[in-house]
Amino acid sequence: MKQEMYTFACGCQWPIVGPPPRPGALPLLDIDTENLPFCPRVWEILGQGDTKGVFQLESYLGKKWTRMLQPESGEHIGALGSILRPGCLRAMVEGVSITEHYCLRKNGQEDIPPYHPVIDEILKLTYGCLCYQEQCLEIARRVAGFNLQEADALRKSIGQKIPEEMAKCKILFLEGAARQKVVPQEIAEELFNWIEKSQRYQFNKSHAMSYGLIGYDTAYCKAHGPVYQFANWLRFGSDKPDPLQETWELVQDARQHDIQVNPPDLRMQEAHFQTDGLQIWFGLTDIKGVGEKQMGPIRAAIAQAEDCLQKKITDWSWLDFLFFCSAGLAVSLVIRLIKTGALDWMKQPRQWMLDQLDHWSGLTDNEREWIAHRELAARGLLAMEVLYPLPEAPVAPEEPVLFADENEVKAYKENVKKYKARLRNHQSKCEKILLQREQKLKPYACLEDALVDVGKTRSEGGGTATKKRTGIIQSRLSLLQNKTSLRVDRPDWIAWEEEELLGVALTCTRVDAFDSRDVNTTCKEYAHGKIGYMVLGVQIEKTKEIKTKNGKNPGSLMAFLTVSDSTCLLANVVCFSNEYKLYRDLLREGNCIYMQGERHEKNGSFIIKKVSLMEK
Amino acid sequence: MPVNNNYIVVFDFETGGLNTSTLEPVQIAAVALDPRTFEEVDFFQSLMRPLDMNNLQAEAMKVNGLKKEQLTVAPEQGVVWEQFCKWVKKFNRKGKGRSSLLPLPIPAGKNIRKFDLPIAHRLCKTYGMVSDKGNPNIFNDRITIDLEDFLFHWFENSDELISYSMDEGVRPFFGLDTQPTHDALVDTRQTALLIVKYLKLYRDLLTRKDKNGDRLIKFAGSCKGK
Repeated sequence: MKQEMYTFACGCQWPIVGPPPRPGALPLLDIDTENLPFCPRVWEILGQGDTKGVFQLESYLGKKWTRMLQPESGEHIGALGSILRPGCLRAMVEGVSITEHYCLRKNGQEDIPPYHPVIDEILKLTYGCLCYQEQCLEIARRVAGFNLQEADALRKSIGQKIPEEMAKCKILFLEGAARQKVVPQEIAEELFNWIEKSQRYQFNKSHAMSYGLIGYDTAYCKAHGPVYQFANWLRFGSDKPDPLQETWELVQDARQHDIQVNPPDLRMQEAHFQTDGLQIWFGLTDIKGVGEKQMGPIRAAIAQAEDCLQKKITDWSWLDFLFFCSAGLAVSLVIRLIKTGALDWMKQPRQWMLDQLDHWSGLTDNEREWIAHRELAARGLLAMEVLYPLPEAPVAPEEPVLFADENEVKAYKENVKKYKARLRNHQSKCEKILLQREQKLKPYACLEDALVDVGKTRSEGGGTATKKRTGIIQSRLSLLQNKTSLRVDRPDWIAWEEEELLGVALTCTRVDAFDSRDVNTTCKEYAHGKIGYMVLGVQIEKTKEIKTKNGKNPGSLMAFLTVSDSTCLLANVVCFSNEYKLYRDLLREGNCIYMQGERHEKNGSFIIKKVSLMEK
Repeated sequence: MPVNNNYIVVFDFETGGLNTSTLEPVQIAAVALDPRTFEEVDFFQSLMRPLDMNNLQAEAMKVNGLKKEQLTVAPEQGVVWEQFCKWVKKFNRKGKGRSSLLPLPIPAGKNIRKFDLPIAHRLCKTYGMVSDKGNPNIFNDRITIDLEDFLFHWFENSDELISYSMDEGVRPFFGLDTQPTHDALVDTRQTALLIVKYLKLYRDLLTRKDKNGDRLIKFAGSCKGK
């Protein structure tokens, strides 16, 4: 039977092994990662500098130089592994780094100066730049007649930088060159100096090509299955030195790819990042302070509550969660779930839920249990006999067959008297309880109603043990019923809490709290190439101030900024010195501003012309 | 020093006495101000039931306008204080990118150093809202914003302000509503308004520039003056 194939827009084809997890998503494909094809789409995204998640090219330098280089082959992506190293970036030839020479020559923006036919042939693939240690070995072999072992010894000696060894190597190299007569002696001397200097920055090609291969693999996956790839990267982000920062960067990049990343959802009960093929959700253990060990209690509490309520968590109301599930979880855990939006499906403001949780947690275990049982009984899920059990009847004192003396008779009569009193008391209690069993209970509409009920003492039919507790519960009720504070979610509060606990604001940003009527461009629209005079409403993430060296006012201050709004991050914003002088005090990290400006023709940066603080 | 990112909490007690060590607080009101925009982002208000109704002094009750009947049914002091502290804690600031000397909100008000903060500290110690060293730990203990300081700065070289009292001097001078409201939240908001006015004045002074874009106020050691 012919296997059904899925064809990407770029032409890549892979066999389908399963249906898509939801309509619109990619089907399950059998991708042979050992035999990935040459795909122009991969070079396209690398050429755009879209390197987050791409092996060895994720950093700022990786992004920058990949964009400069515009790799089009395995040779190029492998070379990036070598030329991105600090040594290469610092090694200057005629005032330009080796890295830049490589990029300019590859793109035909600089001529490759011919040196010697033998050397030109060795350095052909790297456009005349000495990038790899293997190239040094080849020069030693061809020019000085070394075998590979001798050439490697030469490389090691030079690498160790011991003057006596290097002097010996130089003599051997020059003697060999003289014997081989491939190049004149002056060129041989020049070549040795070149090899000596290049040891500081060279990388070995086998390593570079291996890295390049993995880089291509990761870029391929990003180009063809970005949602799954981002979900995987987020999952393994916890292994990075700064997991929250990594999460923030990945989510910003995902937004650039129009991939929606959602806060955790308790209904899913998933521990880690997961995807349905179109969107990504945080897992519960991706919340700061929630560990794997808590997943067991979470799932157990949910299962128990579902069993009790005889309905699935997806059908729960806020009171269902509060009364029947929250008791099985630590308060600090529930607070984190609320603050990160894991309970947003209850359609209640998070601040309101926190307030309710706070008052609920202020009750004793017995009081909470009393409310829960009463609620179950009201819903017909618990028999009234269980809710209001009859007390045990007092036991009548046993009448002795024979009394020893008068004292015993007296004691027995006393016991009988006490027994009769207890019996009367018991009967009275039973009457009250039987009456209670007759009442028609209504499910609670809100926590306040529950507090009214539980706030009475047991003798009054409530759930508290003492008058003191009654006073405390009534105080809590008063605070709940009166408007003691705003219980609404401000965008900046939501953004702040999500950044603290998830590493990134997902639901909204601080910018959402402000008036955006004058804004005519989002960060994403700008990133996608919008031109013209634009006004963006953004939050300043980072400001990097530098002193200019050139231009009209050398020595003056200018700034590079990273800004964001709810659509994505913009890392290439520039404020030149004239404007920076005027607006420096507004361009502080954390400020929300309207920035007006235009796109720079050559490098695509946003050039700020005017700034003002955002208003509500 | 990074710019301030600590929220400012302007608060005020109404009390049943004048001695901060023994008086009964009967009401608390507070507003929280965003440190960058100075906008009010939240408020808190509640009556508080005194621990000893006999401790209420008639003169003080005349000032705050509250009746004993109201206070008898008010929420218990301990419960209100716990809720207030939790409300204040919402404005704690920690985490990367928002460095502050201490992440706790900055307390603000009128005469709070002498009056409201000692009461707050007493309540914190009574109900256990203290650090390991036994110090109250809901507010920033390094920075305090007291309107009394601003009034002095504004008027130390002027006799225009007839009194530092809100009713007799401050409200009429600044054009605020002088009708007695007996509403602690209204009073707190008026105090916050004046504090914000003063803070904005300082921000404007320090950042005002001439036509060349140079700062008007420069300091010797500051490259920010260029």
